[in-house]
Amino acid sequence: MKFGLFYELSTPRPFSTENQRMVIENAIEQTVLADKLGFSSVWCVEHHFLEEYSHSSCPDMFLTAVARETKDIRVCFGIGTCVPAMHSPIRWAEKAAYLDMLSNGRVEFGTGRSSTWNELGGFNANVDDTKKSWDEYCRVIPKMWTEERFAYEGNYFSMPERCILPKPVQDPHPPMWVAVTAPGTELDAADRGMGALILSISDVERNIPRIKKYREHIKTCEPVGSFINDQVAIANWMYCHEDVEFAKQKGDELISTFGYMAGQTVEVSEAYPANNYKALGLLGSLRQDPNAPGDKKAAPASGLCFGDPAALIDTIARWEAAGADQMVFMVQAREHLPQEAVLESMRMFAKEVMPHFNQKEPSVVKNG
Amino acid sequence: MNEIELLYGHGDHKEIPISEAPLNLENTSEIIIEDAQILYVLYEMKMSVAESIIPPSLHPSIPALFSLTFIQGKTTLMGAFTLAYTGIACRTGIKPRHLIMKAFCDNPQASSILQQRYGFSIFQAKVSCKETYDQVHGKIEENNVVIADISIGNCIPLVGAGSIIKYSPALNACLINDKPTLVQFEANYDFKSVIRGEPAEKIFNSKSLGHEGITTAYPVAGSHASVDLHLMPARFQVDLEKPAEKGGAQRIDR
Repeated sequence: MKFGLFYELSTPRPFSTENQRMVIENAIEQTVLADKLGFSSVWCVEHHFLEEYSHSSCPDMFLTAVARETKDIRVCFGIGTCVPAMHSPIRWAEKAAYLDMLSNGRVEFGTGRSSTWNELGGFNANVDDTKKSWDEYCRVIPKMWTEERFAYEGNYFSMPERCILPKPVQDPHPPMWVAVTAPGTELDAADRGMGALILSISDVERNIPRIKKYREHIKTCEPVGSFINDQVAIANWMYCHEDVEFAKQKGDELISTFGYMAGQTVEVSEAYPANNYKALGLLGSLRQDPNAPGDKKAAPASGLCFGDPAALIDTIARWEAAGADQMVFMVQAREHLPQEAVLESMRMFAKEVMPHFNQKEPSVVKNG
Repeated sequence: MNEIELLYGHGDHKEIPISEAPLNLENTSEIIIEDAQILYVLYEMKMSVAESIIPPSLHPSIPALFSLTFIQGKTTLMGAFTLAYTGIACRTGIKPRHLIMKAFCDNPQASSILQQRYGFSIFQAKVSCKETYDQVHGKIEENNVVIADISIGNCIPLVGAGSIIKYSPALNACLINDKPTLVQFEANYDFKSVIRGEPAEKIFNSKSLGHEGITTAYPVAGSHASVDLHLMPARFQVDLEKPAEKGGAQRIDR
């Protein structure tokens, strides 16, 4: 089991220079500490126009800043959006390879297609084609990294022969991932030999069959890249404190803050009904009908990492038994917690929780 | 860091038209409308306009959206009727809803029942929803003046698990115990077929449809669904006078 951090870069109103800089600088300080403490990865989302919820429109720039401040921690796109109206696949191949150079081979490249009308509508993207363009991007980007010169004629992207530069440091190329929210996307990842970054924050038990199916499918995959990245990372929340009840209280506050921000967005499926957006994405899945004050409160998801070290060891052990290879933690929401509290939580986690888990190397199978 | 600034509507709740027809919350029967037709078109609107309309008891949605909905039942206990209403996307807590700006219906009995159950403030008008070979049309004619004549075209079928439409529940301003309250339209939908199409407008009189700030410059999508519509008893209310963070949607006590 390995451990990482996951950043949305949620930002409190008003969107002043002070607030925006504070969010980015605090996040970078956390990643520097994480690198020293032995966390293995930093993931950063790509989102556009999601006020408060995520001001992370340029994950490549954030990850570059992290890479230059750290030594060992891996810098991971979580994810790069594979939609033609937003990016050419050439630019993703270039950016990821460039960051691989600047980080000396620490890049992981997650892919996805966006699930909000805010973003797809804002870029005037063709909503009906996002799954198909994502599939095409996943197949061409590794070839851009590994082939000296690359030419392609496809449905959503074409180019004459060119040498795409630079080439990545990692041989043959950075590991490829897929963001998984809707049920079934884990199989899309497995069938392409890509890692599954599971973002549906929920119970351990609900994810056991998903992870099991992923493992079964990846055995017979046709990898889009030069190797199979057989890994499951679980995005989760974490706040570690010696007082269990205090930690849970802070955890409730983080999730409530996150839910408030998520509620401001418009899911694709709520605005633009489409055959390729059948389920609510992460943000929509957080929305539940409210309760009256006297109603029994719904139990929190069983897999959340809020508690003292002993509670977290127990929870993570259950995730490990479920087949997760990596826990990727959100540790802040709209700067709700004081920065020192976040850093102290990370220190306690590294000292008292991480040693209980064997931080094995990722499972990577080279082709041929 | 300074206190967190939250996003609320800035509208004056006294500007929102309130249905003064008494709400009958005791009637908890379910009304089933088989083979109802629902035409639903959604547009983006200016955020500043939405914020100026939505009261502080609600949060606006981002981006700002408004909808025009037609619901037609041909064989119901209320007789044949077509209801149409405009709404602005908002939310209470984190759940998306639409604040109803104006509603129209062609059947006085249906109007009365919808007013009593859900607080719709309904104007009598000629309302129609018609499906042709390749389009679906919705029309509202009030006092012999057509105020809306819209359609969806270039339609494609939605299939499998995608063949549902996520209608955000309507919120109607009405009085409960003489207190201004928003009551949620409570409906379940058993979808039989769904198509999505591109909205087009022949006539769209913004002011007559609720607010001159709702324009059709940025259409999002339109849909037409054939459903068995289950009208359930009202479940949620929002105190129109309480700020969103202190009020929000609450279950209705009966």
